[in-house]
Amino acid sequence: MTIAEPLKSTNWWGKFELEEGELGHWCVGPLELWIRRANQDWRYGSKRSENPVENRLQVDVPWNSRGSERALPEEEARFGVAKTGSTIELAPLLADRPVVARPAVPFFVPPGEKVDVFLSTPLWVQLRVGKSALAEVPCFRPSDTWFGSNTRGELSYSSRTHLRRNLANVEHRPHRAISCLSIENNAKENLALERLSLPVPQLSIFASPTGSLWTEHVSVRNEEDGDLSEVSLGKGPPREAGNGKLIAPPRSPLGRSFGSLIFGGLFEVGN
Amino acid sequence: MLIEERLTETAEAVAWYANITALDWARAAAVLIVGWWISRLVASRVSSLVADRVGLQTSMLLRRAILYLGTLLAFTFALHQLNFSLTVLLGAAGVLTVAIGFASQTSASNIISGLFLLGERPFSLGDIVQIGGTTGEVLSIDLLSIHLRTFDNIFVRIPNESVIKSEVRTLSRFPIRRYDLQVGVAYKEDIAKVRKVLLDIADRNPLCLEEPHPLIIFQGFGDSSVNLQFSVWAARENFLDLRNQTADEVKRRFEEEGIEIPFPHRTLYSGAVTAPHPVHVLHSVGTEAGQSPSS
Repeated sequence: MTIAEPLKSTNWWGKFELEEGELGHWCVGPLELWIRRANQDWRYGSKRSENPVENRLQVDVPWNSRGSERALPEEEARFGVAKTGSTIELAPLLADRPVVARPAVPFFVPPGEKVDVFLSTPLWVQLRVGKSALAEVPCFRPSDTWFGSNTRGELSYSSRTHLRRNLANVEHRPHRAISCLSIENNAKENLALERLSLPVPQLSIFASPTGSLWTEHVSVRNEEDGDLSEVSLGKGPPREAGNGKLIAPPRSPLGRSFGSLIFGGLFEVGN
Repeated sequence: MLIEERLTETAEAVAWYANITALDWARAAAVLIVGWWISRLVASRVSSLVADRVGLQTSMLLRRAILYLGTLLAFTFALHQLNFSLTVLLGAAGVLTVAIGFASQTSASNIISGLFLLGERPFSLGDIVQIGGTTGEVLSIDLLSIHLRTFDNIFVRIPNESVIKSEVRTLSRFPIRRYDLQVGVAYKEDIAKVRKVLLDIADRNPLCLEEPHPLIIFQGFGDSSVNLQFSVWAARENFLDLRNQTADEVKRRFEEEGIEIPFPHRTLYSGAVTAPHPVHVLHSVGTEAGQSPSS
């Protein structure tokens, strides 16, 4: 089934049952994924379309490739096990590096103001069997970018989408998760939001009842002194996600308090 | 008087040597071997324990320092087992230092250069460096030399003295690198269109960093082309991939867009008013013997 927006409750993630010799087929945005269960190994192949904003969502488990227009991938990866079980799990993950985004036009937050902005970031699909993760594949491979000076900084992904003020302008896509950021400027001067690095490896994913994916609410407070801002994470799903359910914990849970990490450059508002 | 002293010293030395039993020799050998073995064990354990915290190079230095110090101590204890007076050895060391110093100037220079290298730390173990004309991965930094493995898998030893005197380029020091592609386009081309195509190539390649932004720098009007420099950034580990992909992609896209990459041209200029040079191809008309074809 292919869906149009808004998303329905059909999920591409979760546990799926496959008999021996059967094939599963998933289309998640630009990503097309095949998983085959053999007697002693799991095989998977993937293909990505050129269009990064392709909005497909299709799950066929089991999938009969006969008569289908979609050809099987030429190359498959194999994961050998003593004996394959009947269950394979697909889990969404956020990117493994921070994502850097910009507003579409120069954006300033005047002193004393608090605004909300929205950003959607691409997801990775993780294949799991039992407790073992077999492979990870990005739904869309974002461009690399660098956040920092030429000698010090952090390798990040560049977001192709801009920061949005209005949630209605953010498309709910099956292969992207939406983050809501509240930015509060307590300084006496305008805060220029040139670019923003969102530390997605530290965020969780929540699924709203409509099937759209969200991360925690992130609050950034720009204080009077200095370039660094105070950041805090909301607990649980954001208000916009309604009664959202946690479906993926963070890749790199925070060991220390979020506040102390700000000074390690975890989250910087463009300078 | 002097002769008497020398004779006494010699007699003492002979007496000392004569008093050493086979058991003393065995004890000294055992102390030396066990001491060396323990030093090696301790050095290896300590270095592996601290390797994660202090880095590969410091842990290697620590391992060597512990090994050398331990071996020296074991040697001293072994001499002590033989009732050897260390003051004699230290007295002789002064004379020996001068003699050895003259004989091993190069080695001493390398050792001192090595100490400076360790202090300055222009590179560490595992770094990719370019020294003189050699590029490779640093395998070890020793007292006398550094060892490199080149990319065609050749082991290269470079004396520390040469390293100190040469320009050393550490290619893996910073996490991102820039690749500069020199490209020339024909004079007839629209430079704005060329810029657009080049920026699009950078934009479509996920390995090309969006920031720092790709650069297109005008390099001058060449003999046959307008010369541009196309500079793109990549994470260090993706540098080689980006370098190859960019060159391929530029050629492919220029062909698709009809942008000419010219080869050297020569235009003949015959005077103030340049009219096309008339060219006539004349067939041989010499029908008579000895008549040469005219042109």
